[in-house]
Amino acid sequence: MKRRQFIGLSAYLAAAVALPLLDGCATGDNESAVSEPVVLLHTVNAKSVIETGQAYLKQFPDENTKDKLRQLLLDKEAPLSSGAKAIHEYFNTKTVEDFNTGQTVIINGWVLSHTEARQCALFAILQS
Amino acid sequence: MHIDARNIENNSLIEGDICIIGSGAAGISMALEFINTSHKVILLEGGGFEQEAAMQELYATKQTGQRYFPFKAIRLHYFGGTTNHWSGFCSVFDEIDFEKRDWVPYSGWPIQRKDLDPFYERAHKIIELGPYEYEDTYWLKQQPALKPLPIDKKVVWNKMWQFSPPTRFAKKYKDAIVNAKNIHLYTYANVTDIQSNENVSTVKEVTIKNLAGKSHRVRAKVFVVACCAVQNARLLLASNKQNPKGLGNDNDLVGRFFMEHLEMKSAELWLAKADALKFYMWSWGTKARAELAISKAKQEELKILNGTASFVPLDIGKNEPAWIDIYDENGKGDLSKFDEAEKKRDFSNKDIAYQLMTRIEQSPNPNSRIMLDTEKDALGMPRVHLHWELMPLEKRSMRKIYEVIGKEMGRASSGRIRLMEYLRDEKDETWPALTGGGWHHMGTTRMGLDPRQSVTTENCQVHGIHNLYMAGSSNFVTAAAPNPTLTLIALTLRLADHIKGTL
Repeated sequence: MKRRQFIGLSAYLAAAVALPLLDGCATGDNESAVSEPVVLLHTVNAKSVIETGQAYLKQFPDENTKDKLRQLLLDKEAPLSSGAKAIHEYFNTKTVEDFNTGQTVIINGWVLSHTEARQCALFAILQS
Repeated sequence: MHIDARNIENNSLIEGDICIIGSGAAGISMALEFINTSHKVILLEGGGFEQEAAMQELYATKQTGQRYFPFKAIRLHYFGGTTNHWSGFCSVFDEIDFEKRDWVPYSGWPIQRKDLDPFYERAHKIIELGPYEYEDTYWLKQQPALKPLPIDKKVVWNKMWQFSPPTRFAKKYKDAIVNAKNIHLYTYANVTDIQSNENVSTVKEVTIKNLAGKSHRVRAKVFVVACCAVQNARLLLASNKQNPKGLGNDNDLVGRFFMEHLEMKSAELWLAKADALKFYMWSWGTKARAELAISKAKQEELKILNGTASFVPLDIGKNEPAWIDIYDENGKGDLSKFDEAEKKRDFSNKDIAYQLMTRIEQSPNPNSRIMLDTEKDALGMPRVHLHWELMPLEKRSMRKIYEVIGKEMGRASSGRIRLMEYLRDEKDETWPALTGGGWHHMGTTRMGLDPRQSVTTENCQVHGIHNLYMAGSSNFVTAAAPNPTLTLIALTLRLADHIKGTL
């Protein structure tokens, strides 16, 4: 990621994380942070994210469990013990990479990175 | 000078060097080119100087296929033509629009963009546009406060639009035309027939009629048909005394390939950071603005049509009716619903959420066509039967355009795109009720080098008829994304130069 882009994103993430998050849905803990597609949650709302997550699970029924989604979302480099902010930044980097490499899906009409679509699905499961 | 054809002796013979049929954007642009020359120009207008219901009724059509606007409401049948109510949106066609694209059947013009460039520049003056500049960098330099979206131009680029005041040709050019000694403007002079010689190689004369019951003949060295894409085809098809198929129609091409632009709501943009997107907004008085367009390389890669996306705040756009729905059963348009949409605005998600409006070319399609109906109008001319037909390529292209923009917004962390319901299922080839055009008609006498595949030559001359030319958007081979007026005027100016060289 280019430095300028990273700085811009970091500043944006700081603002996003500082929001009274997501209609009270996010807990801010590390587990929840994995399920939070920050850009989407920031621009639309938790209800839309849940609906999108539910649509994703219908479209990809093989991924219809919390464990499967966590397995697909997390790799060795995921900073699970570094706090929610680091986790959000990690997933945003992955999201941008997805867009750069064409790893995108259309869910409920949203053109999404596959990573953030899986986050929506996990979010939907956790909020159900 | 001006002559009312209702007030001259019946069956008069009118003679000149050039006969221009139609006084809309193309016809007047052509006539202006000949002011103060040694050529006597006969300019024929079917109507007068004001809109009249009886004249509009001559444009009533039978329509089948994809639902379409009522013709008699959207094309104006009096001096100045449809410039009397156009909105003035202008942009140039891209290089790729003129090229043969293997994924776009029947694409490929006999001329290139560079052939039109000098005429685009001249056309700018006629419709009072700004400098002939369509680079976003130029316009951003003029207004440094405006910020473009952070897009990769190799994928998505800012296609610039310029806006005519809009020039109303009737108001702007009436005096110049009427006062020109060598321009003879005849109003109430509807051409109902073009007569050629026996072997259909030369036009001898045209017949004009009016609702006052008078009929006259016009003879000239050169005839230019400039009645709009629909009426151009109608006139050739109806002129069938010497050739039962109609003039220029040996290969059954006249009237086929009718094209429109699809202009409709298609997606939403949700920005990650509030931005009024002023570089992309339009209101009366705006000189230039950008729309998002897909790069040539990406179009080639995805095998899609050329199109653009424009922006309207979502809290306005979501309440606006589809253009196709604003007309009543009598063909009367009602714009009040747009005012209501503005009033309903709640400023929710201000500067965050936008409605994206598509403007995309229609793929050339021989089954999308103008034909003659069995019913005749008050002057005895067969009415037009329009069959508008879309192809799956248009829908697939629309969907891909928003996928590309969506990916680019995501890559730049700018926001996210949401496709409207009708674009979500890639297997769904149906069109939603809101489907509509841009009131643009093109392609019914397409140009080309091969007479078996085109009606006119690269110089807009009807193949095989040495003194008959078509002016306007009926010559277009493909529709591109932009509104056609600028390009049709440029093409007309090019034709004017060609005719000057032949006289």
